Amino acid sequence: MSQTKAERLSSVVDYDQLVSRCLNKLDFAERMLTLFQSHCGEELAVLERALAEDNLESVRLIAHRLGGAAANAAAFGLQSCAGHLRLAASSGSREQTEKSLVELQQEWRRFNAAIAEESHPVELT
Amino acid sequence: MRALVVEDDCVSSHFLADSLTCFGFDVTTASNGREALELVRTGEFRVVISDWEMPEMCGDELCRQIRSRKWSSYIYIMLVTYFDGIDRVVEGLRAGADDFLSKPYHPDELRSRLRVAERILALESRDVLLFAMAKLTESRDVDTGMHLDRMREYCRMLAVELSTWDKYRNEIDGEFIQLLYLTSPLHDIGKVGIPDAILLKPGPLTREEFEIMKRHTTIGGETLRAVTLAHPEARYLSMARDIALTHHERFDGSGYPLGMSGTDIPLCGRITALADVYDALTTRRVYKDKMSHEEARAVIMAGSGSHFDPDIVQAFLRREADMISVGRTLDKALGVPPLDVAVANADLPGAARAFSYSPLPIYPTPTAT
Repeated sequence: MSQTKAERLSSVVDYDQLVSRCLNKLDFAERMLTLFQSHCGEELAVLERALAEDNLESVRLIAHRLGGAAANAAAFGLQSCAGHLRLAASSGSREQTEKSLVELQQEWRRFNAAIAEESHPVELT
Repeated sequence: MRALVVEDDCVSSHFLADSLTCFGFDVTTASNGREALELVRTGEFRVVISDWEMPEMCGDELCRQIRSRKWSSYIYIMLVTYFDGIDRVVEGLRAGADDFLSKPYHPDELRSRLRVAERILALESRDVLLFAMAKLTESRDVDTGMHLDRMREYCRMLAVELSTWDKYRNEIDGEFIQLLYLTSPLHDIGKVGIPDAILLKPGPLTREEFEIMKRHTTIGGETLRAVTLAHPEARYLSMARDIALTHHERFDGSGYPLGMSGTDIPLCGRITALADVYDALTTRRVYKDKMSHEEARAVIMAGSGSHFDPDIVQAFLRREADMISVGRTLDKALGVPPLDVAVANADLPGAARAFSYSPLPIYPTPTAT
């Protein structure tokens, strides 16, 4: 893996941590990252619907779940954004919740872009 | 070992399940507390690792539901969540969780904590096996009913009482009490070496027979000593050895097999001696009828300082209402009519004077041949 690609990926995922947490098994780490990428997209769609329905409790629960998933995938940026969204939804502020969701969507796009440019995201040496 | 993972997030669920599989667990997953509770009801899971926040039923509620029911064996519960402060940890432990893991956790931490779980669950297996071993000994002598069950309860009560005294505070801690409860049922394990003709004899023993009967202390003590030598770090084995060997020693040195006296007799042996005699006196045997609590109490008081350690007699007097209650509860389980006692407010010293002390009440009195 080139230094440029590594830098690009390391801006969204802590690979060392991910591989270490996957018991140093690269296939395990790759499976986790693929699963997270697929799952996160679905969760974001559910989040958007919940906010459209003004269901902040549902937003809080989904953000909590997403944060846990991001933590497991060592996707620290998404984990942080999901945490902010959870706190915003807990506070009951729709405005703050919307703002946090936008931040989360931006981070999600950044994550996807980094992963898309890396053809073998977890084939680390 | 089978483990149940309860997680509503599929990524976290996969991560946890895959890690556990690598550690050698047979893993099943559930996506909420309600589904998990149904699976726990199958009795197949000894370890439950659950997320806190989930739809349908949260992790803390799952804990409460599991703890509110009786299971054939202990279920170890670990809650997993983001660290939201000490309040949540306290709340989880109060709900009945055994451990708490904060996300994101490293599998090494998970593995270490699961080793603790396995140690604790193994302790339960050890306890069950020890009691089964003791019960096997008792099974030859069906006349004793729930002797071992009562004995260990009496021992625990006496130890708990003594632990509140300054004099014993350093000697009797929680572990001592737990080990005494665990090992006191092994006091007569040496009876496996006593012939049926003597052990089950309905009448008085001859002196020769009594000498043979006395050997159960050394048979049990020697057997457990050999095991203790192989596992010197196992405190429960050394306590079991001391109890088997010394529960017929007397405080004044007139007991057997070694003629030890006073505090040379291990504390566990002194406690077991009183509990054993009290139970023998208050239960019916083939060779004798049962005594009332007051009669047994008088025998024990008369033996204070001679047969029994006076401190343990005092502990007995302070806890006698509890001892009667336990005896009654276990007798009820066997369908035995209750003892005619009025202990709680009885004029105990007066009642005690009404009976004289008779030595060696546990076995039929030896007769000359």
